[in-house]
Amino acid sequence: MSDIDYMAERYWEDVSVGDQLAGFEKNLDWTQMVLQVSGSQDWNLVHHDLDYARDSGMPGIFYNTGWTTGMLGRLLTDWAGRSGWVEKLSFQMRGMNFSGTAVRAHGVVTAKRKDGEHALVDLDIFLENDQAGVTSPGKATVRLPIKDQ
Amino acid sequence: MSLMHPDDYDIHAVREEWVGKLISEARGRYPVEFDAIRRHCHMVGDLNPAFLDPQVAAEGPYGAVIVPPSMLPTYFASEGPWPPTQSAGTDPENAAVFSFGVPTPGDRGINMEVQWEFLAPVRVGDQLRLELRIADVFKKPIKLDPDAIWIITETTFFNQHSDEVAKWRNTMLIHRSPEQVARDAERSVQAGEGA
Repeated sequence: MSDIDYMAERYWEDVSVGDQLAGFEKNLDWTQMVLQVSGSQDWNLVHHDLDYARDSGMPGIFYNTGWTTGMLGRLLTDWAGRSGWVEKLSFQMRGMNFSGTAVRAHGVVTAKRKDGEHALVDLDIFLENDQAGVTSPGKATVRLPIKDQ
Repeated sequence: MSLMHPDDYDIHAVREEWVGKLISEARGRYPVEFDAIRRHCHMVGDLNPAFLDPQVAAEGPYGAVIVPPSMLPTYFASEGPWPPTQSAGTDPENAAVFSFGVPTPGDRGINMEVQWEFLAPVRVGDQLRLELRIADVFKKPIKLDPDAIWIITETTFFNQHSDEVAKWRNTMLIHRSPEQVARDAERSVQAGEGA
């Protein structure tokens, strides 16, 4: 079970630059590989066929963009609270997350600002694994509710 | 898909033909469904009831289950994962799916950079469509392939009310396998010897 209170609100006023997101980890075992294909519906052979991945010059199966987006998206929505809205999410695939590694999603608040009526928080977000370090650095903007509005 | 030898590949001609081209105006075969969202959440261990529990979501800020912002709307907005089509990107026999039809020397694809902008919630039952354009094509070597081709696409997603719900800018790298690189190099050597 999760210890996240999904019903709770996260208010813009309560966020500070430097706040760390709790994040989470995943071990990329064979079950996770199957869930990756099922959840993303990405049937590119490099994401589930070891022989094809090696023929493509890769050391093994690596996890796809849909999975990477999902991991970073969950990182943000776990943190954003009931009414928080992810406005922007971007990342680079600088390294690959291969089967057999352990991956951690984490992030940090880098700025707070207002754009008209919108109260925004900017974040740096990351996927990193235990063998290659940071594989997918990214940035995000989350809109949060303001107290008494 | 016919692969081109790098010696025959004219990046300027490819850019002339493809940059700015509208590639797809796919409309979702099915409306947004609960079970695809569940599979996406299961993939990353997401237990958020806003995406999974119709009763809880009904009392939330959006009044219904919504698609997690990170869930590639492509699944809904393309022509569906089956039967395979080029625009759905599900046919391993047709490598052009990675290049969106843009001719390339290689047939192996790796996604390099993703930028999303989420403009409005997408609810279960919404009917999505997309417009996908080629924004840029260029050649840039990588360790695996000195003739790798990079393709940037821009996609806008609309709901059934023609409201823009998301924008997606994507950078895809198309490269040759080591075997293809060796084979092409052999032809180049033979051509040089014959000259």
